[in-house]
Amino acid sequence: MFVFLAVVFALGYVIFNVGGSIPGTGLGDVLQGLGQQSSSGPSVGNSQDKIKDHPNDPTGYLQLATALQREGRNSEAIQPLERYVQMKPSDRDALRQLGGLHLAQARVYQEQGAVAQAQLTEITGGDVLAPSTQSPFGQEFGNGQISSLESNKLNQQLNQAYLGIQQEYKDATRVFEKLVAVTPDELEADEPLIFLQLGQAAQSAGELKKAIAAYERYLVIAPDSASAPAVKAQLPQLRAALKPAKKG
Amino acid sequence: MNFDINTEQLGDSAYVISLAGEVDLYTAPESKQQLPQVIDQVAKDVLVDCSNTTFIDSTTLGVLVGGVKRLRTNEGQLSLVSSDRNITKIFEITGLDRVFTIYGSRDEAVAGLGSATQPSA
Repeated sequence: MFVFLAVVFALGYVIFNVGGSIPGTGLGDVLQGLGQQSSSGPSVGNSQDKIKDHPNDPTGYLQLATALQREGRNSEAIQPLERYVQMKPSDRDALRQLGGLHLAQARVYQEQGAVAQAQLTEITGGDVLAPSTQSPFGQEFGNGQISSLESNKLNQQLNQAYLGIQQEYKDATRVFEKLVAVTPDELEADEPLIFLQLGQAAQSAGELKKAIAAYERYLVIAPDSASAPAVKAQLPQLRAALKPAKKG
Repeated sequence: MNFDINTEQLGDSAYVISLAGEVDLYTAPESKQQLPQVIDQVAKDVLVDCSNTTFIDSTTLGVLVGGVKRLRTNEGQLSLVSSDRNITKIFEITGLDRVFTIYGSRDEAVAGLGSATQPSA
């Protein structure tokens, strides 16, 4: 099980560009400690009360998302912002923010997965000097049972992280698709970033056709951009990955 | 800290817009009107100084993106000043750190005006 998850996790990095190989795509530790406590502006509690009193008023959800972000609680801001864009599907600023939050949350899961994987390696691979659990000595003095419990727990964490990554990239893809859909044609040229972000989210979610289409559009809009060479280099790999495997 | 916006001219075609406090739709609804107005008055380059900014919401980010578009028509650029990690992370989350040049200090930004290559997403 461990080997399977480790391989799946590693493949996620390689095939789907989880973590991003295109310059400027790394979000880093963006969710760590963002925002400051503030005495001004609507509080989280006030915003929740507003939603309770007026559940069909979209401003309450945006207010709550903003209040949560102000306190650095970005992952919690995703849900009210999702609700807000359901009610206000053409708010491009909110869609841009929501897509970014999903990408950032994916990065958080990546980091959690990496930590779990490192701990698993330490328990399983780093335990080379431990006595074999097959030997009488090992059965008496080994720590196989503890390692097994720990590794099961870490496998679960790794699995959750991997599922979380995939879900966040799918959500980011959905949001950036909406953003592209509500962006007027005449504004597309000014916002190549949304096609780049859609391409990266879709690629990381394994939705390669969408990624290719977004990257192609990006290159049309911003052929001389800083990210264009990396996108150009990425496209043949994605197209090749889409082709059916040759029969051997 | 209450929202505050100040403008000062740097040269023939460059302005600094200083934003202080929390810049969001609720605490500073006027920012959504004021920022585009100020940007429209500027001929070319704008530095948005966020050295004393404690929070920027999605609406304000949208206003800044709109400012980039406006200034590009005059071959100008919009740059930011902030050394506060809380603020720069907001731009990273939305990917807008690839749209604006973000300087650590105003001096650095002023020195970079005219010589900096605007990153393009």
